[in-house]
Amino acid sequence: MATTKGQRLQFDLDDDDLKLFCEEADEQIELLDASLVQLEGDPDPDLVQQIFRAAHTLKGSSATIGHKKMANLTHAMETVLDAVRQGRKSANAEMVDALLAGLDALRELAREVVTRVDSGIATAALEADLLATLEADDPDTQSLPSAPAGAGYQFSDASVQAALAEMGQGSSCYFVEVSISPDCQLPSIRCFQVLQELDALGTTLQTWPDRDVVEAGAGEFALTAALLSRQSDEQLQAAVEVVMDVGAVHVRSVPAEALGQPMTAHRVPAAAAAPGKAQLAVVESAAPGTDGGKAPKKAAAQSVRIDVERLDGLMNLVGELVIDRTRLQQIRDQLSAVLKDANLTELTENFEETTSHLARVTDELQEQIMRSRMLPVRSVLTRLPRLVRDVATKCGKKVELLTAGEETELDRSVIEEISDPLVHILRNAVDHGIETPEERRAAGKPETGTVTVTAWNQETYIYLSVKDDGKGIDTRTLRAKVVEKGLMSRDAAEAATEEQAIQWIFMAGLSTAKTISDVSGRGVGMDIVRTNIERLNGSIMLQSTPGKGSEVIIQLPLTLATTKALMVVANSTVYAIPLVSVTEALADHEADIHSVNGLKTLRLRQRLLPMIDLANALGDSRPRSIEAGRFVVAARHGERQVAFTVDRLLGEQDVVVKSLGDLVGNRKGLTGATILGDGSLGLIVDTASLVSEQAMLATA
Amino acid sequence: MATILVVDDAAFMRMRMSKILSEAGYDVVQAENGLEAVEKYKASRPDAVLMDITMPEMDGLTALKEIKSHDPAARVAMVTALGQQQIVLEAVKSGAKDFLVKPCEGDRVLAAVSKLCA
Repeated sequence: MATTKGQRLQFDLDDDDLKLFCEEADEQIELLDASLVQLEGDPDPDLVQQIFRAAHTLKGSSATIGHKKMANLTHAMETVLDAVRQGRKSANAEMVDALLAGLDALRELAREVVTRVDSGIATAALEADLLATLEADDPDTQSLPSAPAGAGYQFSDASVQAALAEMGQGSSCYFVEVSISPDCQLPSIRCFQVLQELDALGTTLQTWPDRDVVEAGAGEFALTAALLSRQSDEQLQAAVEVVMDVGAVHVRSVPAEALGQPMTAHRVPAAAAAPGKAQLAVVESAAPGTDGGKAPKKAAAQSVRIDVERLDGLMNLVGELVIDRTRLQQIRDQLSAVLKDANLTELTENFEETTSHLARVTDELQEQIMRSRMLPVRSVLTRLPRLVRDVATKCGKKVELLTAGEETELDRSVIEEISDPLVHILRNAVDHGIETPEERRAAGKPETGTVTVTAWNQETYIYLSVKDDGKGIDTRTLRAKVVEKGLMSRDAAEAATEEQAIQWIFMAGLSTAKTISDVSGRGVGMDIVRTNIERLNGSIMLQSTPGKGSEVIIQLPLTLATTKALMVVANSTVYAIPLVSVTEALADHEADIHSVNGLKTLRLRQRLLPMIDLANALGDSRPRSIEAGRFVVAARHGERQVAFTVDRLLGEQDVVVKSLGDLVGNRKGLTGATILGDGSLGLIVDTASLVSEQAMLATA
Repeated sequence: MATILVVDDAAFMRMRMSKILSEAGYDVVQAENGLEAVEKYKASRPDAVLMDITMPEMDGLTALKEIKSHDPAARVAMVTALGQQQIVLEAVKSGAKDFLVKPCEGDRVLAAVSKLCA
């Protein structure tokens, strides 16, 4: 088959439509991604209904924009899901596999709508696979009812008797032939509507095909009826023509003496005109009312879709407002001093009151807008069941994934960043944590391991925990490994407590899996995971019990748009050091400073921290002012700690994070900048990279 | 100009329909499930309803029946995908005046609506 890959595609939608189409398609695809794996076995009927609806929605919108491949594929998926929904089939592994394969293709096809380039995906085989899952033991081969071949229509004796009885009372007997336009997709319904019209105007004695056949949806494009009515033939004709898609209508009255004779058709029924469509209508017939019944008492969500850019814009404006608030508070303090002297107490009080009110409202506004940017963490968690299933299959393990706290909300910027680390941790849990079914049985555990992912909020942080009931971390292997890799001396490795040793998982250059598997390998270790988390001003913790399992807990700030920081001055520049990494700040005369190997070292809680000049470390080579280095700030990244010397401490502050890219481009050791109360610039220190770099230099 | 109630849980389809109708000069009221459709019907008394079938909260068939019991003269067309023939039949039995099969072409939607409103 010739490939169409790379060809330009055209769809029937404009830019506005495109956005909505993509949003909705993403939503449905995500839903399928999250729920398809739950189909196997004995799924919740509501879930099946939801999955069916997702496929159904995708089918509708893709057909509307003329995306034939996508419409055909979703149609096949829907057909399979419909069988499950109606209990005609139960989902087995092959079916779920076929659906997942379809879903993968669907993702590509949905992308085509954006790129307008043919991805070259062939859907025919996928559709065949999907439909094949239904074939196995499906007795559902409906036979098409035979329609009269247009030769003769014979009135039954009962019809003749009824007709004769009525015809003396002012009624006439009519022979009505109706054809349905071949464009009509559900001709049986139109036939039924014609019947309804006839019923309203008289007594329908007999129909061809039978009423039952029409109602069964056989897909006839013609209906012929014998009718007793007091109306004129024109009236009957007009009534029938009201029905949409009705083509030719022919009404003739039948004299009493002709009732016993076969009637000849006025025209050949149009049934053969569109056999394809007629068949489609038959194959697909669905049971009525399967998706209604119990409507859950849930209030319809009151929400609107907002462009992310617009929200970001609002957030920026509020950021500006927060800065002005801080400035205004400074001006207030200065003014208060002056005004008090001038004995203008009332004015001072009014001004102070207004400023505080403005500050409160600004805080509130900032909080509200931040909340409106929040998304439920569900969007991240939904990808996990599929991942766990894939990884477990690859490793030959049985794993069940439980999730909790999907409703927990966090800033979309954090959501974007958290996905990769979470996926990595989960892969580790399945690949390295959970044992094989044989190992588990030998250890007296159920064959199926459990991994639980939980999300929750606490104060201004969100927590994500990945917990497994696997074998836990083997510290003996770890101790041997760190020595072998030259990361630690044998003595130090042996002397470390179990708890300390477990934390070595986060060391750079350490991989505990005996061989790098293609599952969690990929060259990314837990050290990178930790660095990424800490770059988000978060932290990561690990607990493990041999034989019982491990738990990784990630703590993250609710938003990346603002952060709490310790403001310091070093060589006339203001820096913001994120509070999460600050362990202590003290004046140099309080500090226990030693010289070790010619290097200034701070002794803090039985640890020796290398002392680093902050301005220097950040590449500030301007001449120093005299007050240099009067304060010390101890900062930590993982297990590493350093002490930065700075000139002054300004105190804690909420800072609005601005990208450095807009101002000076990215600079090493800095994550961004913020505007200070007086309108000048403050630089936000990237403690994660700076601390590791400096700690490394100091030990080298 | 006539008011049309467009009921569909799929935002894309709802928007498509609404666009076609409002460009032709109709006033459009939207609802995203059957429950909302019944409420909006009572509140805005539209001249015609385009009702999707497969929806959460309350499906189109149930909504049709509710609307019909509230207003027997209600003019409702079902919007259906292939594969829902039996439900459409049930809907027609319950008083639906017409149906449209997705994907709906603009001309067809307008023809159906003008016939419904006639």
